[in-house]
Amino acid sequence: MNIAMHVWYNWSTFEKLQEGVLLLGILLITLLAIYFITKNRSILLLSFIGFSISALLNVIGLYIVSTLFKIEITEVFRLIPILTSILLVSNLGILVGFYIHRKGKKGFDIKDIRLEYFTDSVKQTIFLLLLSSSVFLFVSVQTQAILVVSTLSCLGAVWCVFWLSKKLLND
Amino acid sequence: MKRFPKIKIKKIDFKYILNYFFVIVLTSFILVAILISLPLTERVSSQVTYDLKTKSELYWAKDYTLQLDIWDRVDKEKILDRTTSTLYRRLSRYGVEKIDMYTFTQDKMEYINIHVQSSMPQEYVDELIRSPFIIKIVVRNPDIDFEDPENPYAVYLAENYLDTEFTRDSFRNIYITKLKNSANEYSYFALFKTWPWESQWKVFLEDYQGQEVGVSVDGFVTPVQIPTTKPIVFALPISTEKKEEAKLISLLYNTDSIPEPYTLIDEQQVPIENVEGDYIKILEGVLLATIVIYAYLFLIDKTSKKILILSALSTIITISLWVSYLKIMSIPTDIFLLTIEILAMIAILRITTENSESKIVVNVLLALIASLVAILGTGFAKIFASDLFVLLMLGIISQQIAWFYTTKVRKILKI
Repeated sequence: MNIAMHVWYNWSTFEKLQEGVLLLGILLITLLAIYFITKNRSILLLSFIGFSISALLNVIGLYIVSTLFKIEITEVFRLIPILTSILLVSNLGILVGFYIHRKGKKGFDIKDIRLEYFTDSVKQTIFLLLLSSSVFLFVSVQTQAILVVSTLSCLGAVWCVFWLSKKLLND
Repeated sequence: MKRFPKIKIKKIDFKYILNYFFVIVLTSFILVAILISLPLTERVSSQVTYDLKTKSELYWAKDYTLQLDIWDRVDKEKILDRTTSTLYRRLSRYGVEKIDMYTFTQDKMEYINIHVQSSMPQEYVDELIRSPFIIKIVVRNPDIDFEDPENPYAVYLAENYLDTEFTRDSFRNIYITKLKNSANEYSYFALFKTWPWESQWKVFLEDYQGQEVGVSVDGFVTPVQIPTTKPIVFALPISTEKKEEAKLISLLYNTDSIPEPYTLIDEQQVPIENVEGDYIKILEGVLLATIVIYAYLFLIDKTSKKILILSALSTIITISLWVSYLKIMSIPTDIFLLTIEILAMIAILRITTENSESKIVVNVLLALIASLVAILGTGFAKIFASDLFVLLMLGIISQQIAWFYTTKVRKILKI
């Protein structure tokens, strides 16, 4: 709550607008690109849900960092939504890539795509957890917080997207 | 006569030799990049200096307090918001990494506190904050004797002029450029440009043709003679020869306008917020992490060895080239940002190498995001996105180099 209050009262209108346009721009540009590439509304919806969950997890993460760990939220933390989006987009890109690669082919089955997406999401999860944890000791507290919040927000969103894909992705 | 036996020379495979030679050159190139990028390797030779230039030595932090006498104004919230918005725009456009502002009221006065942390030249940042840069076009007051030898500064004081309807908001853009002056030498001028459909400014210039008007900046007037020749160009001389200062003045002219004057009442150096780590430790950590992760992936055998080698090689080439570039060009670098960039690239290259069908999609989406953040972002986000865009391009090239290299090596070694 403190973070939201700080942003609301201390940021100028220009600052709020700029940050809003930037984050909405990332969301819009990604969703538009995904829709134009796949022409599939379910993947578009999944991507939107993925971004929404990651944004929510970002906010929760920042709240935990500032209240539980007493780390001051400063300018550098603006990197969190951007880093999260980059990691999430690289995951959603796998799903989109599989989909457009297989879509027109004979024996196209969405279950195969989901299975491949699952395998790669597992690999990405292991890789990101190993990567973040292995450099954890070498970086400053703020960088640790940025890496942890971004990685966990991305992974949370990835697995929510996978879970929802069972319901949303149909032939 | 005995004939010499014919020496049979086997047909030379030039393609094989050329490939061999090319692989040697490429191996040397990769090794040189790795060696340059590794920490402290610059100490191996005293002939070259390519140590990584970190920003931590360049950072400074300051708190500024501005006072505004607008306590009794009904629209004071609007004035404060526009002032902070304009100051934020000026500072972020100049490249100040960290800007934090808040407003408060005390003794019937409004105050703005600005906390700045930057690696940019301090005197220029001071100037951006110190000067509200309120612009007004003024005309001579007929009641004032501008030729009075008792008052030689009369021509420079805004109180001796009459305001016109023209302020900064009347102009579309104020373009700073070099033009020939009366001494036939090039110097900087500010050209005031209006929207094509607005005629008031044109009428004003025609009315005052051949006369002297003035441009008041924070109460200090620079007289401008309106030429009699057509088209009438309104060019205000800028008192600087330096490109960097001209850029700063352009920024002050072209980032909105401060509605009411303020006074800088206090400026104090404060301790910097240090998010940097020891770059040697960090680079060693990243290197160690990459080796450990790839060794682990190699051992668990879930990904083909070919893909793992390709992915690891692409990662090594990309990071080595990037760090080498930063070292050789002596580009001041935020170590914590470099760490995040490297980690993001390791993750991206791993995904794009393994999923060839998703490679284009992922790279296109990421390039779009990076460009957007580089254009609209501020501070660290802007630097991160600009670097990421270059890294993405470098990653694509490195993947091609890695693929070419592993194919050629396999052919030569007949694996």
